[in-house]
Amino acid sequence: MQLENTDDILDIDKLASFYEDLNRGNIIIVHHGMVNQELVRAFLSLAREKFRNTGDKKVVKKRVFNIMVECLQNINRHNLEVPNEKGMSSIFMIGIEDQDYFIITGNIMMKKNVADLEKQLVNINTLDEAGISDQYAAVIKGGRIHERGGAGLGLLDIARRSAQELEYSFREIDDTYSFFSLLTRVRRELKE
Amino acid sequence: MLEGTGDTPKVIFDKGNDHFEISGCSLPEDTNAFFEPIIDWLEEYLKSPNEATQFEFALEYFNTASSKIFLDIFTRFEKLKQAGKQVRVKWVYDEDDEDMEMAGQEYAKLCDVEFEFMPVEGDDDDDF
Repeated sequence: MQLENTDDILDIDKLASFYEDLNRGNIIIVHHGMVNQELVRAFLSLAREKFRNTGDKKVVKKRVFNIMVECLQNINRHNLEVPNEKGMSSIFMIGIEDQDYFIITGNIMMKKNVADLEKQLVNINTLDEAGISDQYAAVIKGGRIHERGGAGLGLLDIARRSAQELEYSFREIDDTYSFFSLLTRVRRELKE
Repeated sequence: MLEGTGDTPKVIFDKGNDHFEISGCSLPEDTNAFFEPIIDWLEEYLKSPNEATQFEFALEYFNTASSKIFLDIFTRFEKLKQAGKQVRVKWVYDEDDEDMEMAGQEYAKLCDVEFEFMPVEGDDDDDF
Protein backbone atom coordinates (compact mmCIF):
# COMPACT_ATOMS: atom_id res chain seq x y z
CA MET A 1 0.00 0.00 0.00
CA GLN A 2 3.06 2.22 0.17
CA LEU A 3 3.44 4.66 -2.69
CA GLU A 4 6.88 4.74 -4.26
CA ASN A 5 6.65 8.47 -4.02
CA THR A 6 3.91 11.02 -3.68
CA ASP A 7 4.33 12.59 -7.14
CA ASP A 8 1.38 10.68 -8.52
CA ILE A 9 -1.04 11.65 -5.82
CA LEU A 10 0.09 15.25 -5.77
CA ASP A 11 -0.31 15.62 -9.50
CA ILE A 12 -3.22 18.03 -9.66
CA ASP A 13 -4.23 16.79 -13.11
CA LYS A 14 -4.93 13.40 -11.57
CA LEU A 15 -7.71 14.85 -9.48
CA ALA A 16 -10.06 14.97 -12.45
CA SER A 17 -9.49 11.29 -13.15
CA PHE A 18 -9.94 10.42 -9.48
CA TYR A 19 -13.20 12.34 -9.60
CA GLU A 20 -14.24 10.43 -12.72
CA ASP A 21 -13.41 7.13 -11.06
CA LEU A 22 -15.69 7.99 -8.17
CA ASN A 23 -18.44 9.00 -10.58
CA ARG A 24 -18.06 5.87 -12.65
CA GLY A 25 -18.17 3.78 -9.52
CA ASN A 26 -21.35 5.52 -8.38
CA ILE A 27 -19.62 6.31 -5.11
CA ILE A 28 -21.52 8.78 -2.98
CA ILE A 29 -19.44 8.82 0.20
CA VAL A 30 -15.69 8.29 0.52
CA HIS A 31 -13.76 8.60 3.70
CA HIS A 32 -10.11 7.91 4.36
CA GLY A 33 -8.73 8.06 7.85
CA MET A 34 -9.84 7.20 11.32
CA VAL A 35 -13.44 6.53 12.26
CA ASN A 36 -15.04 7.53 15.52
CA GLN A 37 -18.58 7.69 16.79
CA GLU A 38 -19.01 11.32 15.72
CA LEU A 39 -18.14 10.31 12.17
CA VAL A 40 -20.51 7.34 12.33
CA ARG A 41 -23.31 9.77 13.17
CA ALA A 42 -22.21 12.17 10.44
CA PHE A 43 -22.10 9.43 7.78
CA LEU A 44 -25.55 8.23 8.79
CA SER A 45 -27.02 11.66 8.39
CA LEU A 46 -25.18 12.23 5.12
CA ALA A 47 -26.38 8.88 3.78
CA ARG A 48 -29.93 9.67 4.86
CA GLU A 49 -29.71 12.85 2.80
CA LYS A 50 -28.18 11.09 -0.21
CA PHE A 51 -30.73 8.27 -0.18
CA ARG A 52 -33.67 10.60 0.07
CA ASN A 53 -34.65 10.60 -3.58
CA THR A 54 -33.73 7.06 -4.55
CA GLY A 55 -37.35 5.92 -4.32
CA ASP A 56 -36.28 2.78 -2.45
CA LYS A 57 -38.21 1.29 0.43
CA LYS A 58 -37.36 2.42 3.91
CA VAL A 59 -36.53 -1.12 5.05
CA VAL A 60 -33.90 -1.34 2.30
CA LYS A 61 -32.28 1.93 3.34
CA LYS A 62 -32.34 0.79 6.95
CA ARG A 63 -30.46 -2.35 5.95
CA VAL A 64 -27.78 -0.17 4.42
CA PHE A 65 -27.69 1.95 7.58
CA ASN A 66 -27.36 -1.07 9.81
CA ILE A 67 -24.55 -2.46 7.69
CA MET A 68 -22.82 0.94 7.72
CA VAL A 69 -22.95 1.02 11.50
CA GLU A 70 -21.59 -2.50 11.89
CA CYS A 71 -18.84 -1.87 9.33
CA LEU A 72 -17.81 1.43 10.89
CA GLN A 73 -17.90 0.11 14.43
CA ASN A 74 -15.81 -2.85 13.24
CA ILE A 75 -13.24 -0.44 11.83
CA ASN A 76 -13.30 1.38 15.13
CA ARG A 77 -12.54 -1.81 17.02
CA HIS A 78 -9.70 -2.67 14.65
CA ASN A 79 -8.33 0.82 15.25
CA LEU A 80 -8.09 0.03 18.95
CA GLU A 81 -6.41 -3.27 18.25
CA VAL A 82 -3.71 -1.85 16.01
CA PRO A 83 -1.38 -0.06 18.36
CA ASN A 84 -0.06 2.80 16.26
CA GLU A 85 -0.95 5.31 13.60
CA LYS A 86 -1.55 2.46 11.12
CA GLY A 87 -4.78 1.78 12.95
CA MET A 88 -6.04 5.19 11.95
CA SER A 89 -5.79 4.44 8.29
CA SER A 90 -9.05 3.04 7.03
CA ILE A 91 -11.27 3.56 4.05
CA PHE A 92 -15.03 3.63 3.86
CA MET A 93 -17.19 4.05 0.78
CA ILE A 94 -20.83 3.71 -0.13
CA GLY A 95 -22.36 3.74 -3.56
CA ILE A 96 -25.57 3.10 -5.42
CA GLU A 97 -25.79 1.02 -8.59
CA ASP A 98 -28.85 0.14 -10.64
CA GLN A 99 -29.59 -2.97 -8.60
CA ASP A 100 -27.60 -2.62 -5.42
CA TYR A 101 -26.36 -0.38 -2.69
CA PHE A 102 -22.82 -1.26 -1.79
CA ILE A 103 -20.70 -0.60 1.26
CA ILE A 104 -16.92 -0.98 1.11
CA THR A 105 -14.58 -0.87 4.04
CA GLY A 106 -10.86 -1.39 4.25
CA ASN A 107 -8.74 -1.34 7.35
CA ILE A 108 -5.46 -2.46 8.77
CA MET A 109 -5.62 -5.37 11.16
CA MET A 110 -3.23 -7.60 13.05
CA LYS A 111 -1.98 -10.31 10.72
CA LYS A 112 -2.29 -12.89 13.48
CA ASN A 113 -6.07 -12.40 13.50
CA VAL A 114 -6.53 -12.86 9.77
CA ALA A 115 -6.97 -16.64 9.83
CA ASP A 116 -9.76 -16.42 12.39
CA LEU A 117 -11.61 -13.67 10.54
CA GLU A 118 -11.24 -15.47 7.23
CA LYS A 119 -12.64 -18.63 8.78
CA GLN A 120 -15.70 -16.69 9.96
CA LEU A 121 -16.23 -15.18 6.52
CA VAL A 122 -15.85 -18.51 4.71
CA ASN A 123 -18.34 -20.05 7.12
CA ILE A 124 -20.86 -17.22 6.75
CA ASN A 125 -20.76 -17.44 2.97
CA THR A 126 -21.71 -21.13 3.13
CA LEU A 127 -24.85 -20.38 5.16
CA ASP A 128 -28.32 -19.66 3.83
CA GLU A 129 -30.67 -17.17 5.48
CA ALA A 130 -31.95 -19.66 8.06
CA GLY A 131 -28.42 -20.81 8.80
CA ILE A 132 -27.27 -17.26 9.47
CA SER A 133 -30.23 -16.61 11.77
CA ASP A 134 -29.55 -19.84 13.68
CA GLN A 135 -25.94 -18.93 14.14
CA TYR A 136 -26.81 -15.39 15.17
CA ALA A 137 -29.20 -16.76 17.78
CA ALA A 138 -26.60 -19.24 19.00
CA VAL A 139 -24.01 -16.49 19.47
CA ILE A 140 -26.26 -14.06 21.36
CA LYS A 141 -27.73 -16.86 23.45
CA GLY A 142 -24.36 -18.45 24.17
CA GLY A 143 -22.90 -15.22 25.42
CA ARG A 144 -19.71 -15.89 23.55
CA ILE A 145 -19.11 -12.22 23.21
CA HIS A 146 -15.66 -11.01 22.32
CA GLU A 147 -14.05 -8.60 24.73
CA ARG A 148 -14.19 -5.99 22.00
CA GLY A 149 -17.86 -6.70 21.56
CA GLY A 150 -17.40 -8.50 18.27
CA ALA A 151 -18.01 -12.24 18.45
CA GLY A 152 -18.59 -12.30 14.71
CA LEU A 153 -22.09 -11.02 15.42
CA GLY A 154 -21.44 -7.95 13.32
CA LEU A 155 -20.50 -10.02 10.27
CA LEU A 156 -23.51 -12.30 10.73
CA ASP A 157 -25.77 -9.27 10.90
CA ILE A 158 -24.14 -7.74 7.83
CA ALA A 159 -24.56 -10.99 5.92
CA ARG A 160 -28.16 -11.37 6.98
CA ARG A 161 -29.15 -7.90 5.88
CA SER A 162 -27.14 -8.15 2.69
CA ALA A 163 -28.61 -11.52 1.71
CA GLN A 164 -25.74 -11.80 -0.76
CA GLU A 165 -22.29 -13.29 -0.54
CA LEU A 166 -19.78 -11.12 1.28
CA GLU A 167 -16.78 -10.23 -0.87
CA TYR A 168 -13.51 -9.75 0.96
CA SER A 169 -9.78 -9.80 0.60
CA PHE A 170 -6.72 -9.73 2.80
CA ARG A 171 -3.45 -8.20 1.72
CA GLU A 172 -0.31 -8.66 3.74
CA ILE A 173 1.43 -5.41 4.54
CA ASP A 174 4.35 -6.70 6.56
CA ASP A 175 5.06 -9.36 9.20
CA THR A 176 2.63 -7.79 11.65
CA TYR A 177 -0.17 -6.15 9.69
CA SER A 178 -2.63 -7.01 6.95
CA PHE A 179 -5.15 -4.93 5.08
CA PHE A 180 -8.69 -6.27 5.17
CA SER A 181 -11.30 -5.21 2.60
CA LEU A 182 -14.97 -6.01 2.68
CA LEU A 183 -17.62 -5.34 0.04
CA THR A 184 -21.25 -5.78 1.00
CA ARG A 185 -24.21 -5.41 -1.33
CA VAL A 186 -27.86 -4.76 -0.58
CA ARG A 187 -30.53 -5.27 -3.23
CA ARG A 188 -32.58 -2.15 -3.88
CA GLU A 189 -35.66 -4.20 -4.76
CA LEU A 190 -37.33 -6.19 -2.00
CA LYS A 191 -37.74 -9.90 -2.61
CA GLU A 192 -41.37 -10.89 -2.94
CA MET B 1 -35.06 8.06 32.52
CA LEU B 2 -32.70 8.86 29.69
CA GLU B 3 -33.51 11.08 26.76
CA GLY B 4 -32.72 9.54 23.40
CA THR B 5 -29.98 10.87 21.14
CA GLY B 6 -29.02 10.13 17.54
CA ASP B 7 -27.23 6.99 18.63
CA THR B 8 -28.58 6.10 22.05
CA PRO B 9 -32.12 5.10 22.93
CA LYS B 10 -34.65 6.81 25.10
CA VAL B 11 -34.99 4.77 28.27
CA ILE B 12 -37.86 5.05 30.73
CA PHE B 13 -37.93 2.89 33.87
CA ASP B 14 -40.75 4.30 35.93
CA LYS B 15 -41.87 1.72 38.45
CA GLY B 16 -44.42 4.01 40.10
CA ASN B 17 -46.26 4.66 36.85
CA ASP B 18 -45.78 1.18 35.39
CA HIS B 19 -43.96 2.67 32.45
CA PHE B 20 -40.99 0.82 31.03
CA GLU B 21 -39.70 1.67 27.61
CA ILE B 22 -36.64 1.53 25.40
CA SER B 23 -37.12 3.36 22.12
CA GLY B 24 -35.33 5.04 19.23
CA CYS B 25 -31.83 4.16 18.06
CA SER B 26 -29.40 2.03 19.97
CA LEU B 27 -25.96 2.29 18.43
CA PRO B 28 -23.76 3.43 21.31
CA GLU B 29 -20.03 3.34 20.77
CA ASP B 30 -19.53 1.44 24.00
CA THR B 31 -22.78 -0.44 24.24
CA ASN B 32 -21.93 -2.39 27.38
CA ALA B 33 -21.03 0.77 29.29
CA PHE B 34 -24.21 2.48 28.15
CA PHE B 35 -26.45 -0.35 29.32
CA GLU B 36 -24.63 -1.15 32.55
CA PRO B 37 -26.69 1.22 34.73
CA ILE B 38 -29.86 0.01 33.03
CA ILE B 39 -29.06 -3.61 33.80
CA ASP B 40 -28.23 -2.59 37.40
CA TRP B 41 -31.57 -0.85 37.69
CA LEU B 42 -33.35 -3.89 36.31
CA GLU B 43 -31.61 -6.13 38.83
CA GLU B 44 -32.90 -3.85 41.60
CA TYR B 45 -36.39 -3.92 40.13
CA LEU B 46 -36.39 -7.72 40.08
CA LYS B 47 -36.00 -7.70 43.86
CA SER B 48 -39.36 -5.99 44.35
CA PRO B 49 -41.25 -5.92 41.07
CA ASN B 50 -44.77 -4.77 40.31
CA GLU B 51 -47.45 -7.46 39.96
CA ALA B 52 -47.50 -6.93 36.21
CA THR B 53 -44.80 -5.46 34.03
CA GLN B 54 -45.20 -4.43 30.43
CA PHE B 55 -41.98 -3.47 28.79
CA GLU B 56 -42.15 -1.58 25.54
CA PHE B 57 -39.40 -1.88 22.94
CA ALA B 58 -39.90 0.53 20.05
CA LEU B 59 -36.68 0.68 18.09
CA GLU B 60 -35.68 2.21 14.81
CA TYR B 61 -32.20 0.72 14.69
CA PHE B 62 -29.98 -1.22 16.99
CA ASN B 63 -26.44 -2.52 16.59
CA THR B 64 -25.41 -6.10 17.25
CA ALA B 65 -23.88 -5.26 20.61
CA SER B 66 -27.29 -3.93 21.69
CA SER B 67 -29.00 -7.04 20.37
CA LYS B 68 -27.02 -9.16 22.80
CA ILE B 69 -27.95 -6.90 25.69
CA PHE B 70 -31.63 -6.96 24.80
CA LEU B 71 -31.57 -10.73 25.07
CA ASP B 72 -29.92 -10.36 28.49
CA ILE B 73 -32.81 -8.10 29.49
CA PHE B 74 -35.47 -10.52 28.22
CA THR B 75 -33.77 -13.39 30.00
CA ARG B 76 -33.98 -11.43 33.23
CA PHE B 77 -37.72 -11.01 32.65
CA GLU B 78 -38.04 -14.79 32.83
CA LYS B 79 -37.26 -14.44 36.51
CA LEU B 80 -40.38 -12.32 36.96
CA LYS B 81 -42.45 -15.05 35.42
CA GLN B 82 -40.81 -17.64 37.62
CA ALA B 83 -41.69 -15.50 40.63
CA GLY B 84 -45.36 -15.63 39.64
CA LYS B 85 -45.53 -12.10 38.25
CA GLN B 86 -46.93 -11.13 34.90
CA VAL B 87 -44.51 -9.84 32.33
CA ARG B 88 -44.94 -8.97 28.73
CA VAL B 89 -42.75 -7.41 26.06
CA LYS B 90 -44.53 -5.10 23.70
CA TRP B 91 -42.51 -5.08 20.48
CA VAL B 92 -43.43 -1.96 18.55
CA TYR B 93 -42.13 -1.67 15.00
CA ASP B 94 -42.73 0.21 11.79
CA GLU B 95 -45.19 -1.90 9.79
CA ASP B 96 -42.93 -1.70 6.74
CA ASP B 97 -39.85 -2.84 8.64
CA GLU B 98 -39.90 -6.59 8.19
CA ASP B 99 -36.38 -6.87 9.62
CA MET B 100 -37.45 -5.30 12.91
CA GLU B 101 -40.50 -7.56 13.07
CA MET B 102 -38.31 -10.59 12.49
CA ALA B 103 -35.86 -9.46 15.16
CA GLY B 104 -38.73 -9.42 17.66
CA GLN B 105 -39.94 -12.82 16.59
CA GLU B 106 -36.49 -14.25 17.07
CA TYR B 107 -36.30 -12.84 20.59
CA ALA B 108 -39.69 -14.32 21.36
CA LYS B 109 -38.32 -17.72 20.38
CA LEU B 110 -35.15 -17.29 22.40
CA CYS B 111 -36.73 -16.52 25.75
CA ASP B 112 -39.69 -17.71 27.77
CA VAL B 113 -41.53 -14.39 27.91
CA GLU B 114 -44.78 -13.32 26.27
CA PHE B 115 -44.36 -10.94 23.32
CA GLU B 116 -47.03 -8.72 21.89
CA PHE B 117 -46.32 -7.46 18.39
CA MET B 118 -47.52 -4.03 17.51
CA PRO B 119 -46.95 -2.73 14.00
CA VAL B 120 -47.37 1.01 13.71
CA GLU B 121 -47.65 3.19 10.68
CA GLY B 122 -44.19 4.45 9.82
CA ASP B 123 -43.11 7.98 9.33
CA ASP B 124 -42.93 9.43 5.91
CA ASP B 125 -40.33 7.65 3.80
CA ASP B 126 -38.24 10.77 3.60
CA ASP B 127 -38.15 11.15 7.32
CA PHE B 128 -36.67 7.90 8.51
